[in-house]
Order: sequence, then structure tokens, then C-alpha cells
Amino acid sequence: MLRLAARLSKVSTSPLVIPSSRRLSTSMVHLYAAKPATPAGKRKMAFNPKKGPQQAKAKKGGMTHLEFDDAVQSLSFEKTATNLGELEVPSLNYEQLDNLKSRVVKYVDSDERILSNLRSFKKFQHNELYRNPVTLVTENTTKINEDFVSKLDQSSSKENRICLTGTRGVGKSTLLSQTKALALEKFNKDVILLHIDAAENIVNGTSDYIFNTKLDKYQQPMFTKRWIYKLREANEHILKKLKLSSDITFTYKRIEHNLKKDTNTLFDLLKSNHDFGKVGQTTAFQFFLNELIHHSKTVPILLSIDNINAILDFPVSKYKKPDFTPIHISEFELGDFILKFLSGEQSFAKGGVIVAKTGMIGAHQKTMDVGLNIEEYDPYAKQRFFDLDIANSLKKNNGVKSFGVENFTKQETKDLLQFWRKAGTLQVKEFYTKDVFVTSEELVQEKANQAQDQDAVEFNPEEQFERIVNNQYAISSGNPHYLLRATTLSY
Amino acid sequence: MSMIRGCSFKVAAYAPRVLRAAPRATPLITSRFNSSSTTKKDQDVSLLAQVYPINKDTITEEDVNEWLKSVQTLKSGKSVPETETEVYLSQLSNPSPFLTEKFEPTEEQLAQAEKYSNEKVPILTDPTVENLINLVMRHGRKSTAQKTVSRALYIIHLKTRKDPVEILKETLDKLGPLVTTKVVQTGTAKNKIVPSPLNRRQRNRFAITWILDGSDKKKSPDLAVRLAEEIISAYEGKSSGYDRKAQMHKTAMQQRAYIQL
Repeated sequence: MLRLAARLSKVSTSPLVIPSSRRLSTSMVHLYAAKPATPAGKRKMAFNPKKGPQQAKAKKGGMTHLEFDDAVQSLSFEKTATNLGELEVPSLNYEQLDNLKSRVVKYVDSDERILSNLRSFKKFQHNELYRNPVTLVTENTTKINEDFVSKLDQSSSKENRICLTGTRGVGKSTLLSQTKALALEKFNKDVILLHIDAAENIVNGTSDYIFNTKLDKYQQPMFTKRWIYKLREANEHILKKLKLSSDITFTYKRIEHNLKKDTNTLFDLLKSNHDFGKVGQTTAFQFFLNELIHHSKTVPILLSIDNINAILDFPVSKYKKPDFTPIHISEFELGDFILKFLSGEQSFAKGGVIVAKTGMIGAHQKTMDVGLNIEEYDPYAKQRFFDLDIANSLKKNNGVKSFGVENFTKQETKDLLQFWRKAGTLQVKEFYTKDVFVTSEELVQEKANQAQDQDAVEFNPEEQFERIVNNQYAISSGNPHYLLRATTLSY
Repeated sequence: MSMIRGCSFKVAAYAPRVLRAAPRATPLITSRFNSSSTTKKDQDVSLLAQVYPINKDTITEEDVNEWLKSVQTLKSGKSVPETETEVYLSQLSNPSPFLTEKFEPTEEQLAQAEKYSNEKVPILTDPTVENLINLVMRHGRKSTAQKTVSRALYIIHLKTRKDPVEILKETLDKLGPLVTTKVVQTGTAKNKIVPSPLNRRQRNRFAITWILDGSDKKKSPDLAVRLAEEIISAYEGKSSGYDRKAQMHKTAMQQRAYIQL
């Protein structure tokens, strides 16, 4: 009986009908063999995606989960920096520019906010070293002021087109920021800044794109929307002053908005019109552009584009057409806008176009060099290195002028290092010498000898600073990038 | 080259003989820039010139005969010259011992040597930082290790706004243990655990190893960031390395009976 009970305990009941001879049974339940028991220590665990893996990972501590480049930017180190007021750093001033030569300056607070909105302060510029972004007024600044900023209100953008060239780290992006700041100062913020901080984002496949049959161009709603947002934030002061030159009607959330001519402002347009980011065909950007061209008679407009060679030297984008052929930069609405203003085909009545190359890419590309008359046209150049149409468009209307950004002079290097020394970035100390391990008795003896020795060489910080200046200048040839690296990232 | 220089030297020494009655000509200055060759007039007269009577106003027939006789004597195979003329001729055929240049520093060089006599030779990096770099290095990739350490020190500078090398040194000083224990085999059943003092480099090594262990527990994927975080927390006295240091000191204290003085 007991044995039977034990056997019964090993079987389970099931309502299922099992095809066997037991079907003939009159019993209401069918008996079948139980599954073998799972061996001890191998319990089957069902995976629950909500709970995740059973063993929770030990939490790791630390300031950040980011890598170095992002970490130094995101950890707000600038808050721990010395206040620039204590260092007596002057502000970049258009009127006093001659007096500021070879001096480290900061931007005027309002200008700094505008430049920050336009993303003019980039990663890897080591802006975390100081409370506010600082810059050195160099010969380049004076020259760009004469060649470009002074002409902003005197000539059309067609006659005022400049491309900043130079080796990697020479300060092209910084000079672009200085140019914008000088323009803001010169016109007392009554200037419209159109700045694209990274032109490669137009072609690198990071945004959505749709074809506009009316314009026969591809639009990039997300990119355009984000850019317009930056422009609105940066140019709020001047855009609020400019009235619309024509009426416009658009719909947002099923509500029709009517903006009236001479009543509503350009700022209202950018604030209320959400068609810039509409996933559908729209002419919102063209309307805004026409308004800008209209107002350029009174207000100078500065179009500045950084990393321009990312689109001019590599004009074939990562985006594809339905037939899977890649889309050319000129087939985008924004790409077309850039090319037209760069070639002078379209122009602002007052203003200028300033673009800067990046030294990080395109060392073997020929398009820009030929377009800027730096290199001769090679008829046998390969298509992937050279785009004849773009090179020709750069040469149109007397061509885009090439502006070679120069390295710092010795004096400028010295002045910059003097500032770094004052701010605590550069430590002037004795040269490192070989570590000598001595006993404590020997150490005491050595110190006693030093105290007695009147002729012992005393450390002269000024002399040492002079040596450091010579050394750093020789290492970097006055290139700010290498100068910074030699000072802050070489221990 | 030495032969050419030697020839020019000879001509200078012979000049009065050619000119006969003319006074001794000033020797050609063959010294290079910053050269060690001497420029003093009296030192230019070689032994050759001193031995042979070059100050004669005239050369007589006897002199010529003696010269020819000596030449023939030497040609015949005489190895040890005896007369003045023979000595002169033998030296003429082998002038190099008399033309060796001695290094004589200029006054400027002497002053410079004096100036730097008390100074040590500068080296590129701080030895402590170099030690850290070498311990961070894996698979011999030194420049990668240098980059990592430099970036870590940069973050330390940003966080503390002080000289990061000094902070590193201070941290290692604080974290490094003073004493360790060594197992000494006695040959009998029980081994002795003997406390032994550590020098600075050994202390640094312990501290750096503990810092590197601690940095593995930080969450950044970048070693530079993790290292910086750990050095900063060790500087603030929060590292787990302090427990290990205390443990080492405790063990040493327990075994202090075995200290051999």
C-alpha cells in the first residue's frame, strides 16, 4: 500500500487525453509518468526581462561615466577656475582693438551668451581651464578686422567672402568666434549671425530628409529646425526689431496662424512657425531666407560656417535617393543655400560670408584648394578627390578670398604663457632632476652644506620662465593647439 | 686631414728659412670655432723647430753636406738618430707626435662650467610621474601610458586648480606604507615574519598599485578619468588603499619582536 502511494506521488494528474490503452479506462483521470526531477544545483530559472539578470552588478562609483573628452566638458570644471576679474582680463572691444594687441581677452557677457548659443565654443578648445572662454588678440584678429569686419556694412556679401585656411590647431574656429564677437561689438548687436558650427552634419547621415517636389531639393527637417532654434536664441535682440515684409499663413496643431506684414516680427515667425521641422514639403526656410535678404539692406548679415571642407571637399553625402545613388550637397536645400551664398549667386545687400576649414580631414582633397586658387586645376584629378562644379562656384564673382591664419609670434606666445602663468595653468618650477635616494643623515648634511654655501645657484623663476617660453615656442612653432598640449597635457 | 694640418704647420715653422733674413713670420691660425687648438705664439713652435737651428741667418755649404749625409745615413737603415740633423729629419718624416692637439677650454667655457657646476642635469619628466607611467604601461605601449597619465593629471589640475604633480607626490606620500613584512625561513618548523622598512620608491610602488586597483572600481570607460578620480579621492583621504596600508602597519607592529637592529 505504501509502495503504491509512493508511486502515485510520482505521477501527476492531467486533463489531457493521452492516446494509449488507458483511453479505455473508466477512470476520470489519466495517469502518466512524471518528468524527471532536475538535478540538485541546476535549478532552471526563467528569464524575466523586467527583473533583468538575477545577480545584480555591483554599482561603480566615480564622478562620471564618460570618456576623457566628454568628461572634461560635462563636469563643469570652469566653476572651480579663478575668476577672470581677479586676473584683470579685458573684454574684446572693437573700438580698443589696437590697444588689445597680444593680450588675452574674454568676450563681453552678452556676446559670450550669443556665441555659446551658436555653439561657437567647441570641444577640445580647453575652455574648461577658465571661468569664461578666453582668446588672444593676435595679428590675425587685426587683419580679419580690416579685411572682413570693417566691410560688413559697406559691401554686399558677394564682395565680402573669405575662407580661413591654415594648419590644424592654428586657431581658425577661434578666429571665427572673434570675427562674430567683433561684428556684434561694431554694430552694437544689430547684426544677424547665421552660424553653422559643424557643416559635416549636413552630409553625414545624422538627420532625416525628404524630397520637396516644388523646390526640387531635399529638405532636412530636424537639422533645419535645430539650426533655426539656435539662430532664434542668438539673434533674439535684432530679430525682434525686424518686421515681416510679407504676410504668411501656417498651421500648427490644427490652428491657423496668420502673421501680418509690418506688424509681426521675424522673431515671431521663428517662434510660432513649426514648419521648419515639419516632416513634409514646406517653404518655411525659403520664406525666412527671403525675409533675411529683404532686411539685409538695413542690417548686415554675417553667414559663418565652420568645417566647410567637410561639405565642399566631400560633397557626396551619406544620404541616398530612392534609386540608391548618393545625394550631392547641391541637391539639399541647405547645401544649395550655402553654395549659392558662397559663390555669390545669391547675396545679402550688406554683410559677408566667412567660412573656415578644419585641419582634421581632407588633406588629399583638391576641390577647395583649386577653388581658392591655392593649387592649380589638375584635369586628371580623380572624382573622389575633386569636384569641378564646386571649385568653379568658389571662383565665381571674383572668387572667395583665402585668408591664411598664421601661428603666434614669439611675443604673442610669451604673452599667452604669461597669462597662463598668472592663471595657474603654467607652473614655473625648477627642471626635474634625477631622483637621488639618500639617507636622512646625508640629507641633513646636504642641507647644512647648502646653507653654508653662499655661491649656490639660486632658482630664478624669471629666467626659468624665459627658458620655458623658448622651449614651448620651439616645440609648437607658435601653433596654439600644440602650445596648449605642451603646457597642459604633457607631464 | 691631420697630415694637411701638419703640412700647414710645417710651412709656418719653415717660413724664416725661406725668407732667410726675414724675422719669424706669424704662424697661420688653424684653429676652428670654439676649438681646443692653442693659439698662443710660443706654443706654436714645435719641438722640431726648437731642435733644428732654424734661426740661422744663412745656410752654408757645410750645412747642406751634413743634411745630405744624414739623409743617406737614415736611408741606409739607421734606426736611432744621433746627430741634430738626423733627429730633425727623423722627426720630419713622422711629425704627428708633435702635432697632437690638446683640449684647452676657453675662458668662456670655463666660466660656463663654473656657472653650472652646482646644478644637476635636467631631465624631461618628474621621476615620480615616470614611475606612475611605467606602472600604468601595458604591453610596452609607453606613449599610450604617458597620454593616460597626462590626461589624468590634467583632470586633477582642473578639479583642484593646483600643480597636479605636487598633488600626486603628496598623495603617494600619504598613501604609501612605511614598513612591510618579509617571511624569513629559519630552517626549523616556524618561519619568521620580519618587519622591514621601505624606501621612497618602494612606498610609491605600493601606493600606485593600490591607486590603480581602486581606479578599476570607477565607472568611466577611460582609464585617465578613473585614475584621476582615484588620485583625487586618495588625496582627500578616501581611498581603500588606506585600509591596506593600516593592515600592513598592523602586521608589522605585531611582528615587531623580530626586528633586527
